[in-house]
Amino acid sequence: MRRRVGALLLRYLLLIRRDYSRVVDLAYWPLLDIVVWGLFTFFLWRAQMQVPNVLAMLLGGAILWNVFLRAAQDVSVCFLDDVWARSVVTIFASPLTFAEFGAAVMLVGLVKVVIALAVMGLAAWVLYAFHLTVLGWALVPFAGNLVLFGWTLGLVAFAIILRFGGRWQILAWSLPFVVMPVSCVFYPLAVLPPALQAVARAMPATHVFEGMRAVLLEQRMAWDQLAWACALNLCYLALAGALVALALRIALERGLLPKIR
Amino acid sequence: MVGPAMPAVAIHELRKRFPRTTALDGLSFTVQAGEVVGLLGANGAGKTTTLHILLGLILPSGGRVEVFGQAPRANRKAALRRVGFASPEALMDWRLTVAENLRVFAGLYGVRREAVERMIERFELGPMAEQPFGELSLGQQTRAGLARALLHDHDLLVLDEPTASLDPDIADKTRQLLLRVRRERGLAILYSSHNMTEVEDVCDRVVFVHHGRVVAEGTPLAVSRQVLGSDALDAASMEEVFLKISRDGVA
Repeated sequence: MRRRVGALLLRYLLLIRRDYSRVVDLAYWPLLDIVVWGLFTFFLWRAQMQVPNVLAMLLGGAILWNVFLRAAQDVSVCFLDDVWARSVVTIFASPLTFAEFGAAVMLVGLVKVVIALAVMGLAAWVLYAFHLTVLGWALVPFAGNLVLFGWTLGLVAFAIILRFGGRWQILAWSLPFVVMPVSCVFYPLAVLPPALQAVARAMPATHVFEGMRAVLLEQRMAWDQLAWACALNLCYLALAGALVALALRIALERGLLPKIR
Repeated sequence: MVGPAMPAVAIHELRKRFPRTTALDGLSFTVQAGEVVGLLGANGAGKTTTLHILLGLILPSGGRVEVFGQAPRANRKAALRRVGFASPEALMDWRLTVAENLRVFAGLYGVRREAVERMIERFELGPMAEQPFGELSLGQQTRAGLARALLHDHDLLVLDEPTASLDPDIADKTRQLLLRVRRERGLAILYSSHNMTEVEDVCDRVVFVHHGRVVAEGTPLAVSRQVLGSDALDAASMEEVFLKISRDGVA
């Protein structure tokens, strides 16, 4: 199993070297986020708007948002790589199991998260003297929960593409942005209308970003937020796994796998 | 351990119904170890569906499929570890080089990297080993696909129209290569093709499929006798057999 997962991991990592759009995804967009949000923070300072710890909140939000985005997009984009290369049949006619494929694409997401985190952390430190370590060890469980929620959305997009075909590939990129407004990345939950607050509370990402703000503004670890994020993630990840299993079953029964374009 | 009598492929009463069509309707045949069997039939006869079920890419609606005694769906790893597969529809990543692609598949099949060098040499892929797969000509892609299919030391090679879209020269070279590999490794080959010259050259036995059922089976000569009542065996007579079965449906 390790060897097959390692082989797929090698394939997707080799692609970073061969396909410059991957470098843009990994370095340029995260860097751009840091530059834009950093400059926006300067604007708020100059306008003398009294938002406490605004640099840390916005840059911390931008960095953690990119963690979530990378994890969410890579699960389904890795599968789309095979769809575009017309190598779905070649890959799945090998002894690779579907679970191993899933493990490999989630690992790819994790590797890219680490790379993006390093790029953004370095840029924030060099450009704005912002240290990611300001979040302390809380960064680990918060980022971990965002990776889990990212995987969940990635699996949902993967299941839909598997079942309904490549014409749904837009979901691979857009699904994270669908939940962004109710994930409270750059603003607190309290600013949302009451109806949307209920929806936002159902998002693990909301609890992570609320927890991040508690660390930055109140210097306390929000255990309740972390517990909510973990519990919701476990439920959603299990549901996403079941959805993928169902989509796979339908794809195998209807012969969709060899036909996917 | 597999006994000597264990067939490479055993398909019994295989059925496959899709929402709008019945692709396979009680298909049965076997491929013995070391045997080259041609799976023939018109477009839509059920050949590719059969191969995809064999490779665990489609679930059957009924019947039994075994690869060296293992069901590809239930024992995916055990069954598919012994199978190589090539088809013009089964490509590799166009952005990676030939050597990189082969290294990835060596990992998937659990073979050492030296196998990649061996296959590059054997299939004369050296000059293009560092070129992206997508930049190769169709003939070169087919050769690279066969190199991938033969990377591991398997016992069964499944080929779905391997020489489709190749010019006659490259197609002939590919056939000779397959025959050489078959002689050296003694592996079983299940071969789907529309090219009757190829079938007559390569196959020990042919299985004609029509509307998801086997309608004629045997050596090319036996099938030619059965369908045409003729002792002549050449590409033209196999072509006639093909046309008669495709048009009339029964042997």
